[in-house]
Amino acid sequence: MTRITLIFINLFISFLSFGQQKIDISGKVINKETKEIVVHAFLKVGNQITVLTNHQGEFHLQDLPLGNLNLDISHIAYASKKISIDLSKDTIFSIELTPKSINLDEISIQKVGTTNTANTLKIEQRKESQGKNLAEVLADIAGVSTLKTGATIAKPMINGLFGNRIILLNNGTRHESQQWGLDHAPEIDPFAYQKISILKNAEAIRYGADALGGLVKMEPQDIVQNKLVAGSVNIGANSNGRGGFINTQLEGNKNNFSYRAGITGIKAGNLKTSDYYIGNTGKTELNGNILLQYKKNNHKIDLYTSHFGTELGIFQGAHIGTKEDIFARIAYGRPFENYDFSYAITAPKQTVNHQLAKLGYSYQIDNNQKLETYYSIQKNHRREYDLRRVQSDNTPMADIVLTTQQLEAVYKNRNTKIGVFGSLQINNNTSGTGTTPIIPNFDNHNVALFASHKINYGRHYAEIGARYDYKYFDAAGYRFAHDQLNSDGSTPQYLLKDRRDFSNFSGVIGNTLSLFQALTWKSNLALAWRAPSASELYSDGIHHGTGTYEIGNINLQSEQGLKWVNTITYKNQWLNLNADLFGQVIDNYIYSQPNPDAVKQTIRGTFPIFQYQQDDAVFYGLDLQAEVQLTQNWDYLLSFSSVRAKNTTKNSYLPYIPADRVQQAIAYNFLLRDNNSSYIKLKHQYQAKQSRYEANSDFAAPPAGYHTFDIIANTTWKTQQSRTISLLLSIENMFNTAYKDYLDRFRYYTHSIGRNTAIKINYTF
Amino acid sequence: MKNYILLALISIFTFSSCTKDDPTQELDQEQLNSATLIFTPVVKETKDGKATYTPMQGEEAHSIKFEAPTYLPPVGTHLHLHVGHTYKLELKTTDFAGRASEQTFLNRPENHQAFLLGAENTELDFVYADETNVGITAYITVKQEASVVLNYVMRHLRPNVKKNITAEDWNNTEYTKFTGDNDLDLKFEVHFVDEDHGH
Repeated sequence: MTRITLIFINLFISFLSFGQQKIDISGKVINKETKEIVVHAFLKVGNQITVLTNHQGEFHLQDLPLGNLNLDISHIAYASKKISIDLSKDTIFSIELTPKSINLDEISIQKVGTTNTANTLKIEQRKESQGKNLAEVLADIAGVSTLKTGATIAKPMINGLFGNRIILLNNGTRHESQQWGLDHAPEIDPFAYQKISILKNAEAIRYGADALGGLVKMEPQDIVQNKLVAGSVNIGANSNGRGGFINTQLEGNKNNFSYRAGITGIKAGNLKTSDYYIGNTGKTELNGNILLQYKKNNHKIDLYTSHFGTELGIFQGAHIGTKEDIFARIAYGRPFENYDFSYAITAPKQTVNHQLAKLGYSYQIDNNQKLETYYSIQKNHRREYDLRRVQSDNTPMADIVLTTQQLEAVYKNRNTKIGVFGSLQINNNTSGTGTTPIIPNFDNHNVALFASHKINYGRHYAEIGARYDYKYFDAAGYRFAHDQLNSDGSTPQYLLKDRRDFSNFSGVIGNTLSLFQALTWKSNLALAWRAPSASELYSDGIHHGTGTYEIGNINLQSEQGLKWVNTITYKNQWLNLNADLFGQVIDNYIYSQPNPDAVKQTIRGTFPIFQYQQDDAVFYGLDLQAEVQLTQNWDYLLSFSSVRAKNTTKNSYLPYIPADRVQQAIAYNFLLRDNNSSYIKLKHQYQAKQSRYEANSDFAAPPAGYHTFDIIANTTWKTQQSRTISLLLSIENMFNTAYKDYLDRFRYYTHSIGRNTAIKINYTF
Repeated sequence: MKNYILLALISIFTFSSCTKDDPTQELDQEQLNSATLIFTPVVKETKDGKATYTPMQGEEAHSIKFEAPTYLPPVGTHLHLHVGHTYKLELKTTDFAGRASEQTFLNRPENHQAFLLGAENTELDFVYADETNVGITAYITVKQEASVVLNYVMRHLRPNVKKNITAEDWNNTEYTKFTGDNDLDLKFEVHFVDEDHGH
């Protein structure tokens, strides 16, 4: 942390009134390193007054009482600071703020727009979760759950919704991968983003109509401006899986050019539950990213490229056949075989590569107006391997390439935003797999227009926005004609060609009321829609991971969701409270449900049929997050997540909805020296049993609730050259508790992972 | 600078297609199209503890074919196997293109083993006829009268699982504990009868 240097550049007495004991202060906020002015910095006086620096970085506060004045200064791109001044006369002074560097820095709850609230991961949470995948990194946020396929694959779930209903915003671009698969994890390297936030309302206007569940926003911070070379090195090791990771980031600036580059490598072997190894659960990952920036006058050009590459092993005991196999494993409670530790990754496995290139240009027309544009292209190449009957196991069962191009232009001024967005998406199956692809080749093109406007009234804000989307979908692929037979008894195939159009309006209306200085109420009502995905429309085949036969439904209509999020934020010197109360109705909610009267008879046995269908649904719940400063050294953190979901058409519960969860932590913060900050934290998580469940709708009833405990110790040292080194030691699931999680699709076969001891070292220069 | 950006954009649009490829039809090599079980009467002779089997003259082979869409024999189909007789049990399969494919099981013996469920050891004796216990060929000897529904399962086993299975597991009803999935799951009705059985 950088200390505030308070420089009194002038002391004048003016308009001193002996009869009026009030003081005026004014001045400028400037960048400590470049001496540039800092626009739109927040200055908060005690708990009562907040002012914003103007476009010249100036501030002015009037009628302040004599005596000690506590000022909080914050800005998104700078480290927040507190200063204390003894006021005896009118004063003019400058405040210097230190830019946030490549450190993983953030603030906890941050205003986005006017009526939307972003839950941003804190610096401690980011450090504690280094080396984990994106979904696990996000799991500390109230309302965010993790949908797992075994120990290595995890997808984020927001308020009970997941997959295509959540937009992953990767450096301003929608991350486009094959999110339709429950066992397809997002191809994101968390190290590449210094700020990761969750937005729980639909955010349909700005980022696209699909985000019924919410948005995961991943952003880099501004590149450091005063150095040619700065950066960080992060390394860590885990006992469970005997794995490790290394990440290096470099960044710098010279004249008008800036750069940032990073590389991450991860390697791990078989993971272990409380008392046995889970076979074939290793992973390797190699990721890289480069950001180049050119700024001159009012122009700014960004070029960003990234590569994500992973190979994931999938527990062999979970890729099995008929429901008899599944029931045998459920009855046994754990794998029949005993596995040893190994780094080897064999079939079944996934190899996934994702490349992104983005070219952005922005032009600051004047102090009030800006034009932003970007073009991006992404290529997602997914190969899935299984134990094959005829071909070599090295021949993928599925080999799919998804290419997406996006183009966007946005004009914005202080209160209004108008934009146009277009995307071209092409999905191709690579031939030679020896299996009929579960989804066909398709084109998926989208054009959208959107506009939003903010209205200030007093200390309050209102927001209104609308978006129109047109989507063109053209699919072609060979499908089975199950109702026909060839003369030799085989099932014939036919070439399916299907074109369809979707168009719809989305909208948002929101309001923010500052009830008083410490209490804010934000209310946001958003209408969003989502066209059915290719898998929901056309899938046709055996899903080995679940022993089910999945059939798409070409009659599916678009989902339409109306979500109302009310956020109460209360903040004072010792309490920071954030509560999200949400309700959402979704018409034509698409889900996959077994039909107990229908089975698929194959020569390999009888498989239950899961067919995509749609009904109306309702979701509602409460997310609560509180930070309490008990004393100068002790902090307490509480997080509570609760969601209820029902199929209102059939008056039944929906599957895979998370049960209530409580996370709490108590931390002791202390200094070993003046240039040191340290803490010890004890975390507890209670996951309740899901009791809102339709009997016989799944192979096994939801497992029991469970408690886990983690302990974390961290110490950070800062040198005089502003270099920092941190050492973090943690023990996760310290009591080695054996448990199964309802949202883990491999809970039929194995327990979740057991104790893990980790060490992480972070060096920033 | 502008020229470089223009060049980059032209390159991107040139090398990225704007429409999907024409789909290619895949021959589903993993899928089986039909299966036939053939029972041929043989004479079993044991010499120096080693059994030899020779075709029984004048006896016809019985077969059951399993085809789409039900993969079940026609209603009422059943076999009569005679007590005291030994039969060579052979599996014939065709793949999606109608080609013979039973050899594919033998090509990967470490991943395959057949089970014949539904009969007790006191009713039936089962001997794998291939050294690797795959079971596309086997010899069965009927030991006593019974009416049973036999279930021929060709198990596709995960690596290192087969080492835990012995030849005595041929009718292990808990075969699902040998992790894998089923390449074949064939059910048929059989009557073990005395030789003078009229029907």
